Amino acid sequence: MRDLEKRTQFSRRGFLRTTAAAVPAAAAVAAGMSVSATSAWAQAAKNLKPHTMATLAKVARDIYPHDRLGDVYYMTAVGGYDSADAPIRDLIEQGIAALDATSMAQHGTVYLEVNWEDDRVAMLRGMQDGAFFKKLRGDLVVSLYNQQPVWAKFGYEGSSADKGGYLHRGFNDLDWLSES
Amino acid sequence: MANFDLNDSSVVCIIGSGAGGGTLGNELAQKGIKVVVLEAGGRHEIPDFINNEWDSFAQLAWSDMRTTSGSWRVAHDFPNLPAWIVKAVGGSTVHWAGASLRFQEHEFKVRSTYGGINGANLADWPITLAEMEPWYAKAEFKMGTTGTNGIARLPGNNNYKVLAAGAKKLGYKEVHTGNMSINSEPRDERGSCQQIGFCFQGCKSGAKWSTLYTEIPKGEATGNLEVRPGAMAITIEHDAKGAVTGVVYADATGTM
Repeated sequence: MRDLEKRTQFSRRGFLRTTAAAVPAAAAVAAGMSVSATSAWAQAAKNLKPHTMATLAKVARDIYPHDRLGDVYYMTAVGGYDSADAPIRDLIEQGIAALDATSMAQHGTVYLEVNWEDDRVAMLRGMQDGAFFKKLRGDLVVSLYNQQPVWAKFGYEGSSADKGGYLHRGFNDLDWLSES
Repeated sequence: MANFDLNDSSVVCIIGSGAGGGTLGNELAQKGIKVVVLEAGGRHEIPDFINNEWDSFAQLAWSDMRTTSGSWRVAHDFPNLPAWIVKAVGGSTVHWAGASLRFQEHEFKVRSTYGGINGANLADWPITLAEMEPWYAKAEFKMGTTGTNGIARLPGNNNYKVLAAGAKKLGYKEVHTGNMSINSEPRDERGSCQQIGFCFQGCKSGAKWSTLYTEIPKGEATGNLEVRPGAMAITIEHDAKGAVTGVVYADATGTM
């Protein structure tokens, strides 16, 4: 039975080339940094506050948590809000501000600095029927899961007609059942 | 290919080019009757189909804004997301899975079999399986449904193998890949299934039956059928007696 490689593949040469030309998000992950407002990626935001960008990425991971996904995918997923229309940006800024206000009241610090996932998720649950959360949850379905590098992490191979389908590429190669 | 005048009253007008409209259009055209099929969406042929779920959705789905109400999940999570039904020539036969099951006798008599439900208008069908059988047979032959007309069933994939093994262990005697209108072998000038896995995004091999590349081109070849894409029916006009006199449609530019 065919086995799919779900780890990110880097040759040394490819790795050097990628990081040299990389967008800040990729560099951040390659260097093992976590998302913070002072990261180059967050600082590169033109319209939203860097703190908002960093918090958004954290919220995105808390809504759709996948330990096997690096921060870069969550950063990419929310990156588009920086260039969204003004009413959307307002919704985002206000949503993050409201989240931080809740966080300050409950935990004495901003959302980004609350260390326990359960605590953060409880705060998100408190706003799950609001416009901000619904917007994020709906958008992320596409902006997170429609990133092709993410597909590989889940073992999804994408287009197949261009490869002749799966007829000769293992659609029925299951070999761990004696009777089938 | 036919191209009828807007005021040609000798032409039969069909709204929609899917399983019903596309098939009826071809049947009439084969009998020498002039037909125009109004199709709200565009015409995307097999090479145009995209093996990418989101891109394909943008290409084929009924993209007009949906409105929803009530307490169901979609109304809560994605109230305005377009429905994943197809607005294109071929209609939902472009998108469907190909499963082609006949109703069973008792399924025509749902109310008699299961009893009424308070507040619902559940009713038996006014037709019987015996009446439908010749039409089922015709449809299965046209569509090349596996498991009928001596057509071999499709091979099982890995998912099937797991389910089949479980079903057999539970004691099921009849286990197979179902009656599918997907060619298991070349038939009707179409090839066989390549197990592409993107049936819902439009079958790139053409193995799955769709009016887009079966009934419609056959009808068009007679010179009696015109399919008019980008023609969204707005109103069916009728006279005082209720007889239809015309159909008002908006073309791709919105002109009525």
